Parts: sequence; structure tokens; C-alpha cells
Amino acid sequence: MSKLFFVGITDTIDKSKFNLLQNLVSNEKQEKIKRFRFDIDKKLSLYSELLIRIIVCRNTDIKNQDIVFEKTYYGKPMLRNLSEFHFNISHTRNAIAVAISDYPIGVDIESIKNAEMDIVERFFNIDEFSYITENTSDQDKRFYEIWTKKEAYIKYIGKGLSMSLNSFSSLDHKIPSYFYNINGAEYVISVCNGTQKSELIELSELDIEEMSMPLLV
Amino acid sequence: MKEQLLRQIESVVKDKNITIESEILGILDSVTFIKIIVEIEKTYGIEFDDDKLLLSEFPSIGSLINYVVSKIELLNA
Repeated sequence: MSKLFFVGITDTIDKSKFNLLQNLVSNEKQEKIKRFRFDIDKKLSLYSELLIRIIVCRNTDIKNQDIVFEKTYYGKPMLRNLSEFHFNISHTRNAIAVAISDYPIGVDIESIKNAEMDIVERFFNIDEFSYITENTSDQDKRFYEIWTKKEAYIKYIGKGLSMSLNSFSSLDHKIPSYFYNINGAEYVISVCNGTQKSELIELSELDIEEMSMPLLV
Repeated sequence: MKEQLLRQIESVVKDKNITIESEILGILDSVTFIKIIVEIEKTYGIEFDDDKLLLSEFPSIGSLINYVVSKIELLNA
């Protein structure tokens, strides 16, 4: 089982709704959210965690208040006492990607902008370089595809600090990428979990808010 | 030098409100962070250590700048 959730998030914040939903996360998380300067970053941070909490509450007997987020020695987020539940979160301006699986998983989402060729030269290996430059009309898309594959792979391995961008080729591994258009922006999401393809589930911001409500009681 | 680095970071991020105290989280996404590294490396002829290529290594803009300054000093020592 492997699922990929994709959620578009708007810039605007409804303070009363946001404050209500914040009650569903730990004080520590609330403090972290407070430190973000922009509303969009506050929303991305809160809504992605809410989605994990919704999924856990819907699929297990665990209550929201008993869900505790922890980090492995290498800094990969996990849930206390739920080591068989694997998840990974990524967000970018105005979209969230959450991947869940029975096995370790890594996900990365980016909105497609201009390809950064300086990064390609410094950090990508020769196969990745060729893939990006062989078709000039697709360069931007391919740059972000490779970038997200690399990030997803690093997050899948989950050894953050000990792994650098240039130490492997993302094209040597099966890392499916998915392209999405939402609110006029184009996104690429890559998911790495060994081999499996993921079931794609698109949700709205409103879906998250509505599914969070039962957790408040 | 610190001031110059700050200006350089501002120009990549396209945000004029960045200070030494700014938290990296919430200002930079991972691509922008790596873009800054590539620019700084080119300007100063230094190379970031592999274990410093992660956003989480630098809690603030100041800590990133301090790391770069220490790398440059090492180069000139």
C-alpha cells in the first residue's frame, strides 16, 4: 500500500478557523508555526500535519491527542509507537504532498519554474545532466523532475546528513514522478518507496478542514 | 564581508527584509537554498562540505553567513 495525497493551499488565512485547527497539534508545533513570517508557511505547516493526523485517526484506534511526532536519529519524522506507519511530507508555495506507506517512503514537491543550470552543473551527475539538456523545450520540467527525484530518494533513505545531492543518480532508481496543474501553477511530485507506484488522491484545503473537525471533539 | 553576503542572499531570495537573525526555515525553500550555495561558492571560490548542504544545518541566516566566513578565512590562512 502506498498513497500520495496532493493538496492545493491558498495564501489567505481565516484566523478563527486557523486558531481552532491549531488546537489539534502539540504546543511545540504551535510555537513553530507562530515563528513563520508568512501566513502561507503557517498554513502549509499546519495543514500537512493535520492530514497525517486525519489519516492516522481514520485508519487506527489511536486518538488525535495520543499522536506524537518524533524524529529518527537522522532527523526523519516518524510517529511514536507507530513505527510501521511510514509517512513523508513535502510542501512548496501553495501545495502540499503527503505520502504514506507500509514501508519507508520519501516525497518531494516543487512548483515548476526556470531550470537552475548552475545547480545542475554543481550537483547533478552526468546522466541527470544529459536527461535535462537533451530536450531544450522540456528543460524546466525535467530540472524539477530530477530535483524532486533526488530529494525524494534522500528522504526515503532517511539519513539526511550523511547523504549529499551529488552522491548518486536519481535515474538509477525507480522513482515515479507525477505532474499536476492546480490554480494555474504546474507542480511535479516524486515519490520514492523502493518500487511501488502510489495511488494518487487529490484533496482540497476545505477537505482537510472538514476532516479535521471530528478530531476536535 | 557579512554585509556583502547578506546582500547576495537577498538578491537570490528577492526579499529585502532578511536580517542576520532571520530563521532560514520559512524564508528559503530547498532549491533557493542550494542556489545561494552555488552563487556563494562561485563568488568566493569555496566549496561547502557535503554535510552542510542541508537547510536544517543552518537555523538562521547568520549561521549560514558565519559558516561561509569561516570557509573563506580557511582559504586565506
